[in-house]
Amino acid sequence: MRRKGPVVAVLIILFLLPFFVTNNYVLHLIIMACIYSVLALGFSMMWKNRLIMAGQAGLWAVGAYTSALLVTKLGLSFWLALPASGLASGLFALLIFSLALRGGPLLFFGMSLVAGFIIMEVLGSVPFFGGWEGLLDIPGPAIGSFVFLGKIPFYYLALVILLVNVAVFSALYTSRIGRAWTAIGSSPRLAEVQGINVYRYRLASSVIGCFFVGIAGSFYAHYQNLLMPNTFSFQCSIYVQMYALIGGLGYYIAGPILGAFVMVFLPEVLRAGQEFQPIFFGVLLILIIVFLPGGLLSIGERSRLPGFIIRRFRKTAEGGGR
Amino acid sequence: MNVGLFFQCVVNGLAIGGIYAVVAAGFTLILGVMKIMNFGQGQFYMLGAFVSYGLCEVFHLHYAIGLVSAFVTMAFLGIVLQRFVIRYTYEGFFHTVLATTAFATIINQIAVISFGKADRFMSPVIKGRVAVSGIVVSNDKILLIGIGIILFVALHYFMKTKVGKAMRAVTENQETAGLQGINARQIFTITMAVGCGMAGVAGTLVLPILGARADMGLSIFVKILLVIIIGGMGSMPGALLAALIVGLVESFGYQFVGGYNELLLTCCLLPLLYFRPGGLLGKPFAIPE
Amino acid sequence: MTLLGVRNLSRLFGGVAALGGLDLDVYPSEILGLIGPNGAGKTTLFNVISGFFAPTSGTVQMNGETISGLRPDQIAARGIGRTFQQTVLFMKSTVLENIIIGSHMDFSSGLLNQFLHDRRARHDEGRIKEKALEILEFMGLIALKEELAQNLPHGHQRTLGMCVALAADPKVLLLDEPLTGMNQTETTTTIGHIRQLRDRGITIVIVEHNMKAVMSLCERLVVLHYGQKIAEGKPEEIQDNPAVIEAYLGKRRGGDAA
Repeated sequence: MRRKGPVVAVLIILFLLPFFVTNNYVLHLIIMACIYSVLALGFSMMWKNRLIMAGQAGLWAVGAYTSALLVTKLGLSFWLALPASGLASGLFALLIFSLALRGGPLLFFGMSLVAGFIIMEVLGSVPFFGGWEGLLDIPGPAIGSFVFLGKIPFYYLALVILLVNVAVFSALYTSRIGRAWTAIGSSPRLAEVQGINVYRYRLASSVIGCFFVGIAGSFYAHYQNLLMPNTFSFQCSIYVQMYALIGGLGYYIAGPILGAFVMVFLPEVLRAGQEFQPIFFGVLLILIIVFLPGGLLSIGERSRLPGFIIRRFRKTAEGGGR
Repeated sequence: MNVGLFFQCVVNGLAIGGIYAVVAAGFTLILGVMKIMNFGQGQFYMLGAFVSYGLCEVFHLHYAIGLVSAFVTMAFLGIVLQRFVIRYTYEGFFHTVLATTAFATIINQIAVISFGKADRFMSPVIKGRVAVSGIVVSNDKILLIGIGIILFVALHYFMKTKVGKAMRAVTENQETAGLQGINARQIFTITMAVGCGMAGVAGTLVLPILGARADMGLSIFVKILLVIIIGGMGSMPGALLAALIVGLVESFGYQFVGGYNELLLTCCLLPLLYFRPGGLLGKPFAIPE
Repeated sequence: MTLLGVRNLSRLFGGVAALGGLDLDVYPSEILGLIGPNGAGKTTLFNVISGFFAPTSGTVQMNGETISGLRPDQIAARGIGRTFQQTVLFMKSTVLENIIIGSHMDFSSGLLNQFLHDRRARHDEGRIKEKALEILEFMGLIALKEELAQNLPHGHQRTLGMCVALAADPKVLLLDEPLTGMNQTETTTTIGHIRQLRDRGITIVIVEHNMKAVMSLCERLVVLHYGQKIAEGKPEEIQDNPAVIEAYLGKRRGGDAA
C-alpha cells in the first residue's frame, strides 16, 4: 500500500460516519450494504477462478443459522459463534465443492445453484431450524454488560467485518496465491503446466470466500434477531451476482462493494414500488449486461459511451454469431 | 403395495417425469448448440400454460390448438429473447446466465402481478379414467405420456433433417460448421425457438393435471436443474433418463414420505455424482475456458 | 542414459489408437525432433507426457520415476515444461506478469509468508522479478514487458509462450510447433534461442512442420505415423527413408502440406 494518506482519510471518515449520519434508516441501509458487499466479495473471489457461485444465499444461511442455533440452543457467546459460523460455512463449502470441482467449473456452477435451493428448502421444512416461520428471538451481541442497542454498534461491527474482509482479500490477491488464481481464471491449462494445482486453488478460493460469507451470516442473524428461510432465496443469490456484475467483474474488491452500495441505495433514490422492483432490476441488469458488460467501474475504460453503443449495434449487425 | 397403487405411481412418475423431460430437453438443446444456459426456460413453461389456458378454457378452443399455439408463441418469444439479448451476451456464459435470469425475473413478476397467486385449472381433455385393481388413473395423464413420447420421436427425426444436422454440427464445433457454410446465428435462432417452444408445450401438457400458477416457472426450473445435473449437462439422453428417474422417485416418494420431495431426490441421487461427476450419461462439456 | 522415457505407450480415444505401443527415449541435452503427417499423434504424445491424458497402457518415465498418471502440475514440478500448438497465454496480463505468474513453482517463502507480505516474501518477489526480466532479455522481449499479452503480434506471442515455459525451470522442454506463423527473421531468431536453451542444459523435444528448420536444428529425429514410430535417426538418414517419404506423400495428396 503505497499511498497511505487517502486510505487513512477514508478510514477516519468511515469511523466518524455515525456522527454525520443520524438517520437510523440510512444507517440500516449502510449496514446491509456492508453485509451484501461481503457476500459479493466472496462471489468475486470464486469468479477470479472463473467459478460461478450461484448459491451464495445458501452459504450465507448456513452461517446465519449456525450462529443463531449455537447462541440460542447452546448458550454460546456471540463472539465465539461469529467465527464458528465462518468455519461452518467454510466447512460446508469444502464438503460440497471438493466433490463438485472434480467435475470442473460447470458442475461447480450446477451444484452451487442446487445447494442454494436445497438449503432453503431444508431450513423451511425441518422444524429444528424453525420451519418457514423462522427462527425467532435471536439475541443481539453484547460485550460484557454493554448490549448492542440501536444501529451504531452494529454499524461499527459491520464495518470492521467488511474492512477485515477487504484487508485479507487484498493481501491474498497480491500474493503468489492471488497470482495462481489469476492464472487459473485466465487459462487453467497453462496454469497447470506451470505447476499450479488448479483443483486445490479453486477449492481454497471457495472455502475462503464462504468463510467470510458465514461470518456475514452470523452478523445478520444477531442484527435482525430473526431468520426466515425465504430471505435466503434464489433471488438473493441472483442479487449477489448482480452486485458483482454491476460494480465490475474485473475489479475483485472495488467492484462488489460498489455494486452492493449502488443496488442498496438505488431503489431508495428512485422510490420504486415494492412490486415493481424485480422488474426494474431485471431491466437494469439486462441493460448493463448488453451495454456495459464490464460493469460500472469499466466506464473509465471506454472513451465515449455513445460511440460504444453504436459500435455494439454495428458489431452484431454484420455477420453471424461471433 | 398392491398392483393398482404401483401402476398409479408409475403412471404419475412417467407423467411428471415426462414434463421434466420435455422442459429439460429444450434446455439441453440450447445448452448443447449455443453453449449457454437459458435461465428463463421455466418462464416459457409457465407462459405456455397460461396461453393454453386462455385459448382452451376461456375461448373454448380445442386442446390441440392450445398445444400448437403454446409452441408457436413461446418459440416466438424465444426468438425475441435471442435477438434482443442473447445475441449480445452469449460469448460470456455468466453474462447470459444473468441476462436470462433477469428476463425470467421480469416475466415472473409481471405474471404474478397480472395473474395473481391463484391456480388456474382446466377441465380434462379426455374425460374419464383407467382403473386397475381399484386404483384410478386419469386419462389425461396417459395422454400426457403419449404426447410426450410423440414429441421425443418428432425431435429425434427432426435432428436427422438438414436443419437438425446443422444443429448437431454447430454443437460439435462452431467454427468447422461455419466453414461448411452453416450460419450459426440462424441455427441459434432456430434452437431457441425449438427449445423454448418445447417448454411451452410442456406447460400445456401439465395444464389439465396440475393447472397453471404464475410462479410455476421457478419451481420447475429448480427441478430441471437437478435433472440436468444428474443426467449430465449437455446430454440429451441423460436428461431424458434423469427426468424419468426423478419423476418416478418423486411419485413413489410422495406415497411413502409425504412432502419431502426435493430432499428425497438429493439424498438418493446426488451421491451418485461422487462416482460419476459428469452425471449419468454426461459427456465432457465445459464452460468455454 | 535416458532422461525422459516412453515405454509401450498407447492412448485410445473411443477405440481409435492415437498412440500405439510407442517406445521413445530422450537423452539429456539433445534437441529431438518429432515429426510426422498431421494426425500422427505428436500433440497427443505431448498431452500424455505433460499429464493431460493418462495413458491407456504403457508408461512415461522421467529420471527413472514413473510419471504417467500424475496430474499436470505434478509433472511440471518434476521438470517437464511445454508450449502449446495454439497460443496459450495469460492474455489479460502484461508480458512481465505472464512470466512472474508462470514462476509459480519458484518460491521459497511459504503461504503464510506470502499472505503477510513479510521480508522473506518480498525478497522472493524481487528475485522472481529479476529472473523474469532475465528471461525476457534473453528472448528479446524486454522492451515489451509492460504490454498486455493479448496486444502482442502473433510471433511475439509465441515467443512469450516459450518464455513462460522457461519460467517453470524445465529440465525437458516440449515445444509444440513453436515456429507456426513466424516470418523468416523470427524463425531464425527462435532457432537461435532454442540452441541457446540447449546450451544452457535444457533438453528439447520439438514438434515442427517447418522441415528446413527441423533439419538444421535437430540432432535426432523420430517420425510418427498413425500413432506409431516408423523411423528414428539422424536427419540425413530420415530424409531418404522410404517409409517416411511414403507417409508424407500419402498424406500430401489429400491433406495440407507443412
